[in-house]
Amino acid sequence: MDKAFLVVDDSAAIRQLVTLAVKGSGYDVVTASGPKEALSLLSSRKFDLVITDLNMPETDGIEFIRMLRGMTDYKFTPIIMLTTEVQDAKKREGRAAGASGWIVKPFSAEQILDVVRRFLA
Amino acid sequence: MSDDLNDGFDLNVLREMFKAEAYELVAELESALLALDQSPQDKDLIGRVFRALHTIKGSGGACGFEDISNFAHEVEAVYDAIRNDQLAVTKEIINATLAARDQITALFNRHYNLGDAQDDATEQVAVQLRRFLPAGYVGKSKKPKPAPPVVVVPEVRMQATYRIRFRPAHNIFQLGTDPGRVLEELRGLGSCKIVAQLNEIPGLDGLEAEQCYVYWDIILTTDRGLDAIKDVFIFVEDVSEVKIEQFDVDALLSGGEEAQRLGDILVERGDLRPEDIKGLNVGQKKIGEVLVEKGLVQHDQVETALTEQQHVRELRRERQKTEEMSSIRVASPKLDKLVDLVGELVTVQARLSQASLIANDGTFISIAEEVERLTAELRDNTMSIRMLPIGTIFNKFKRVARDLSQNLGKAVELVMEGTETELDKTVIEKLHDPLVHLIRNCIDHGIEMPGDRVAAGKPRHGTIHLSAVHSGAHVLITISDDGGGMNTDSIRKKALEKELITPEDSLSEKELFSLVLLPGFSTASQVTDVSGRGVGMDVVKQAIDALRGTIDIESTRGAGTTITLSLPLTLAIIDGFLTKIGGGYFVFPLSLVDECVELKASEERSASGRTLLPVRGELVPYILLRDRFAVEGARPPIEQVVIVKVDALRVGFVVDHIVGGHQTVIKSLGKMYKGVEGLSGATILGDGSVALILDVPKLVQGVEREETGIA
Amino acid sequence: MNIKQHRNGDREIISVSGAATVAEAASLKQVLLSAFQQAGEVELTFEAIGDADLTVLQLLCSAHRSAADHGKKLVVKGLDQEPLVRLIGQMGFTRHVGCRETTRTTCFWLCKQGAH
Repeated sequence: MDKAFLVVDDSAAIRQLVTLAVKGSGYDVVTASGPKEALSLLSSRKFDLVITDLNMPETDGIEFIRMLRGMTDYKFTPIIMLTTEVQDAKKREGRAAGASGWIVKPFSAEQILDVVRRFLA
Repeated sequence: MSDDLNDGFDLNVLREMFKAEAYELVAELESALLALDQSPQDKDLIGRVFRALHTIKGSGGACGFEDISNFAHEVEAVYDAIRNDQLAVTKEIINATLAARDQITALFNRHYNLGDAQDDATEQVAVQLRRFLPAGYVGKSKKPKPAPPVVVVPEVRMQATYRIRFRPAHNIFQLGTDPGRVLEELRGLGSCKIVAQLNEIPGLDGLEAEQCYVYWDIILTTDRGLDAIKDVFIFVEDVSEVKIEQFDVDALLSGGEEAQRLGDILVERGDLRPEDIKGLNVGQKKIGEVLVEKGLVQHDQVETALTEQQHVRELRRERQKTEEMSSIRVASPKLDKLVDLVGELVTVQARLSQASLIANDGTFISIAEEVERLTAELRDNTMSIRMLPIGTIFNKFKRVARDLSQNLGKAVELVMEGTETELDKTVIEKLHDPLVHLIRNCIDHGIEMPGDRVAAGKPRHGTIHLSAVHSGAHVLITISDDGGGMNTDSIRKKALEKELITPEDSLSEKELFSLVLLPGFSTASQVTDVSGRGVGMDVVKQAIDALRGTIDIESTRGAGTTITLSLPLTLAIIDGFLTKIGGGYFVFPLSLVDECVELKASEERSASGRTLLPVRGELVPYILLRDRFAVEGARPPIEQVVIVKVDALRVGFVVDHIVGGHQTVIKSLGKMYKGVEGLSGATILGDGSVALILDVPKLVQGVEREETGIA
Repeated sequence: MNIKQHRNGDREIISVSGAATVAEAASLKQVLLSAFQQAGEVELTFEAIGDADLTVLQLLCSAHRSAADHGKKLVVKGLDQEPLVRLIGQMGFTRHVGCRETTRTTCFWLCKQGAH
């Protein structure tokens, strides 16, 4: 079975970019426009990796990471945050919430795959 | 990027998809701004403006709209400052941001071919916005990093070996990271050995099963460079201890066949103090076990050291294999035979050329010329087979330097240059001992103790430069240190003690330095077990003489010493200077010949068997080679004196005639001449006759002995 | 992870199958801990192991040391399964000698003689 990962971002462009980037690489990608939609998807299946934006209107990405880590199924799952620049404070905050890694926007398709492969064999 | 990705990923598709969202974002920005204008304190509204800009920046950048991404970044900076209470919302800021929104729209229009945008207008707005930022505001001043180019030009890197310590955070699993993946990535970089350190795993009572108590020692040989290794740790380095250090495996690989000893590895890794293994009685047991029993090292450290030992062993085997694949091993005698044959061919070719000229036949001459060209090429090629890079012995010196400086408590760095310089194999082999001696001398006598160096305003670390460079038919090898330099006073004192000079002798600095090359001269006031065994520089000198090389010493008190060895590229062929005495030919190495003067019977003056020739006011001692080698026949009325210069000493040799320069292929002497002192070999001339090659340094020594014997 | 247990005299026999990762580590630890509280000898058998990670190796080390310290015995079977063999190598657990006098020759990670 293909490894599946979930992308959470309020920007449709980012969601599309990620989807296009991993197309054909053997991963199954599901997208959500925000944490609320994401949480409903999580109940239907177990994802092997979650990529989430930090700046989202409904729920802050960092709060979302914290919620995930509180769930038994996602206690040890890789969670990657999308940040816009190398902002140490934000990164540390995400890290404290339990993020596994980060991707700095803007990013290329290659960079996404590179990071995903680090966490999913 | 792989091909299937290229097929699937088209930026234009993404841009089209982003189009609707782009204009929505601009509209959202505008409505948020207008609302903010009404209630400038509203944090939620400030957040909305910020997020809109943020998304425009991020998604615009993802679509490759760099101008928009950069511009949005400038605007975003202002709202970041506002968000952080470093700036208050004013009418001017709102107006400027609305202008910025119009520019963003224009830029989107341009990208989607819906209109045009003025770049200078964009810049004006950006400048205006920047003015709002508090002085020295740095929060967001950095421009977003552009995505690195996808095509990376592969760089040719040298293979290097690293020791890596990786100690992840206890809660690494709770951060969604399996340390095993990090290890796998390291394995992907090259030849890698990983030793888990298990000593911190608690018993079952104290174990939190989801925490990580293990850390790792890793030995990695890779040509990917340090950055590639650091990259592996990018998502764990902030929560882990990661130590990467390169270690000099070349010194180990060239240090003989036997594996490095376990104790040495532990010392070198810093797990054990050198004094801990001194005098350690191991008996039948393995050293690792004894050290663990004594509590000197931990079990895991021994495991790591054993693994490192094995790694180095494997590297050596691998290196040998690649060397074997890219070259053919040939027994040295076969090569010597080839050189011999080429030598004979050169000789025959000379005869052929001579014969063709005498016959004065056009066809014959052109054939002879062709043979001459081919022979020269064959000779150069054959000689080059015997050439080896001098690095093959230089590398061994690293170990010598390290061990000795450790023993003496000195800090020394050995820097090598020109390791690719090629020299005849025989020369290289014979150079090993003299060079070891010179390097030991540098460390023992040259480089000062670290404390003294610091007191003298020098870096703690002494540096020894070892370099090789081609210079014509010679190779210059320089060993220079930044140590204390040579003390002319103590050299003079010592030379007087040893009666090498008299108190009246006034010697130049250079002449004083060259005294240390004399037999039995050793200035170390205290005989160390390193370089002061009474056999000193004279041994070096003898070895270099045997290679027909020369030694030059320069030294500045307090600043260091430089010793330059000049060596012929090969021992098999020399540029000779051919002379004739009676019916016999004698060859001088051309490099030693200084000048030639005539000697008339009437000028000769002999006082108590000592012969001196005035040359421009200088009295040059000379010897009659006719007498020296008992050549029959009478001396001609006008003879030639070949004056050679060996280590600043000029000596004349009297011969009958001078024939001139001659490419000389050296052949070893037949039984007849074995044991005749003063000859180093023979060569065959174009007409088939044999010429003897003079061992000039030996002959000069003879003259020196006679001189000092009389004085 | 599927855990089955039964008792044979002073020996507690545990067999484990399925995943042996960090998600299962805490419960496996509890099983081992209580087994040692009740029995002098524990036999742990791995059967048809799927995913496995560092935590299971770490747990075995910990249990082995505790057993040795309390004069009890831990026997582990099924470590020769492919996923576990690979894991032991990947994690760099392979040893030349056991870490304690008591585990010199019984250490689970000893490299097989002749394997090198």
